[in-house]
Parts: sequence; structure tokens; C-alpha cells
Amino acid sequence: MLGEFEYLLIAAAARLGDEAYGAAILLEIERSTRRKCSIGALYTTLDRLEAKGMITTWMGNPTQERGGRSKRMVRVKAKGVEAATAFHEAVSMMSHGTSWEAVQTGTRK
Amino acid sequence: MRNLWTRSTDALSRSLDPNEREAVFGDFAELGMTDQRAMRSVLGLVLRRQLRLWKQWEPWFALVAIIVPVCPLLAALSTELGQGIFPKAWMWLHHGIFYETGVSPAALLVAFFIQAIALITWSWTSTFALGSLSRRTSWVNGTLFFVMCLTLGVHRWLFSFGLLWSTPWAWLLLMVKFLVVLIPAYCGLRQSAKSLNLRIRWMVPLTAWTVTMGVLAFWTRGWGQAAIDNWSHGSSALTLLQLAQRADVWEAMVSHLLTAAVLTGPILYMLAINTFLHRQSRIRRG
Repeated sequence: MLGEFEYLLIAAAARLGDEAYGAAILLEIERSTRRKCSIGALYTTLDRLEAKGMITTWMGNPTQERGGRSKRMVRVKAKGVEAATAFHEAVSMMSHGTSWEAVQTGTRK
Repeated sequence: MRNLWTRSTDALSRSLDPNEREAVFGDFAELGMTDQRAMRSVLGLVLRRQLRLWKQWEPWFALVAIIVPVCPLLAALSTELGQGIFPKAWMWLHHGIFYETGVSPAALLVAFFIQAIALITWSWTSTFALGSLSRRTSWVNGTLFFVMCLTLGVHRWLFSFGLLWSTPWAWLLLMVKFLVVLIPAYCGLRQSAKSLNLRIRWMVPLTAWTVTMGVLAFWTRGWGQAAIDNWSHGSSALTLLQLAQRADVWEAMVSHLLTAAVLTGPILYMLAINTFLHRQSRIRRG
């Protein structure tokens, strides 16, 4: 089972497609979750996911806006898609029929 | 002039892979990150990387098998060497007389140089083995190695010489430590960063050299005590039988053997690993 941050990273990379790389994934996660994401967490999670065979990474071409430095490009592999789908289904199933307002106000029977 | 944050970020990022460093610095440029936040990000990444590396056995083995046993010995022997030359050099330069130890000045000089060369060899081989065991954690283990060698035993010296600490002579001990332990240790770490393993044709003479210097160092360390024994027993030296009957001689011998075993341990380990790798590659080549 994926961790929450691992799922966010795979989802961001899948959404970005061919434009998935470190900074873009970081911005995507920050934009979606409205939370700060650290480079350290991002790169160590990328390594972990790559070791699990869920993503593949490679060094892209250097660009001007990055001061002539290369990007670490990311692509989600079939195993990653499978794991993310399983995570999403588990969360959806757990959430299905749960009334959060009722839980919050304590009126749930 | 580059500010402190940029310099710190640069220094920290050196422990990252070149590709990762490039990608991370590119991300910083693209995100327009402030120097301070970039430094925090790199620090976080480096710490996470180190924590992951420390989940493996190699850095712990280097810590337990090299740093813990070797550093106190190197610190003690270098302090002893520095303390040994201090009164002699002081007397000679300030009063023009030789501090009488019962050993001739030439023999003392030979003993000093042999012990210094032995310490240089042990320091170099220890940090070379340290870096070879786990290159990416070598800066953590290396820092620990330097701090331990520099600080252990210094407090005793500080107290024993009291006010002399304020004189330039007082720095002699630190100078000796730097010359015979810290600088060779740094060179050993640098060498391990360049190539993890020495070729077998270098490893065998290096091991032989380390063992020989160890034997010579412990032999020459005993000259002072031998001179006192000769003096207290008249002109005749103790016979081997008389020596063998003395408990303190056995204790000293066991202590010397253990010390020599610990200090030559790293190079013997490297020799064993290199021999194994060499044989493996020969088998593979058929």
C-alpha cells in the first residue's frame, strides 16, 4: 500500500505527463494540497518509488530558465498506476457513505 | 561576495550525487527559492539521505570497528609523543642541556621519527579503510574521527602543564597531533574518495610497511624503560629470563600486542577484501 505522499507524487507526475520533473511536481503538490512540500521529501520519495519499480527517472536536457541545469524527469510505470489506483479505491471505499458533517457534530449513530 | 547561506548550501550539496545536485539546483533556480530556503531544503535532503545510508551495516561497522577502537589509541599515542618531546625540546632550547633519559639523543631522535611515521601510517590506513567501507557517510564518520583524535587526551595535557598553556610551546602537542594524525587522516579520506580500493600490488607492501612500522614503534617505545632498568640494575641489562618473570613486562607486552592488532586491523581488513575481490575477478576471467 502506498503512503499518502507517495500517492500525491504519483498523481502529480501522472497529471503532468511528459512535463513531470522535480520542480513541476513540487508546485503541483503545493497547489493541490495548499501545503508546503520540501525538496528533501520529494527527492527521497522519488528514490523510494523508483526502487519499488513504480516510477522511472532520468536526467533531461538543461534549460535556460534553470541556469543551464538539467531536470530530473519522472514517468509513472504500470506498477505505479496500479498502486495509485488501489490506494485511490481504498480511500474512496473507506469514505463511501461516511458523513463527515455528522461525525464532526457528533450526531452519527 | 557569496553570502553564508549560498556557501553553506554549496558545501552541504557536495555530499549529493552530481546528477541530483544538478537537478536540485535547477529546481531552486526555477522556483526562485531564497538562499535561506534553498539551504534548508538541501540540509533536509542531505539529512534524509544520510539517515537512509545509516540503515545499512557499513557505516556502523566503520564506526564500531575503526573509530571506536582506533581513535582513542591514536589520540593517546600522539599525545604521548607530543608530551615526550616537550620537556626535551624545552630544556635544550632554553637551557642548552639535554633532558637525561638514559637514551642517547640519536636514539631518541630515531625513536621519535619511527613512532611518528607509524602514527602517520596508522592514521592514513584507518581513514582510508573508513572511507572505503562507506564513502557517502565518510564525512560524518570522518568528522567524528577528527574530533575524537583531536580532543581525547588533550585535557590531561592541559592540566599537566598548567600555565605553560599560554606559551607558544604549548601548541607543540597540537602541532604533533596535526602532523602525525589529522593531516594523514585527511589524506587517507581523500584517497578513499578517489579510489575505493588500492590495487593488490600496492596493498601487500602497504600492509607489510604498516606491520613493520608497528613493530618498530613498539620496540622503540620500550627503549626508555630499558634504559631505566639498565640504570637501576647497574651496568648489566636484565636477562630474558628475568624479564619473563616480571608481571609488568607481560602486561606491557599484551597491551602492545592488542594496540598493534587494533591499529593494523583496518589495513588487514582492506588487504583481505582486496585479495577476495582480486580472486573473484580472476575466477570470472577464467
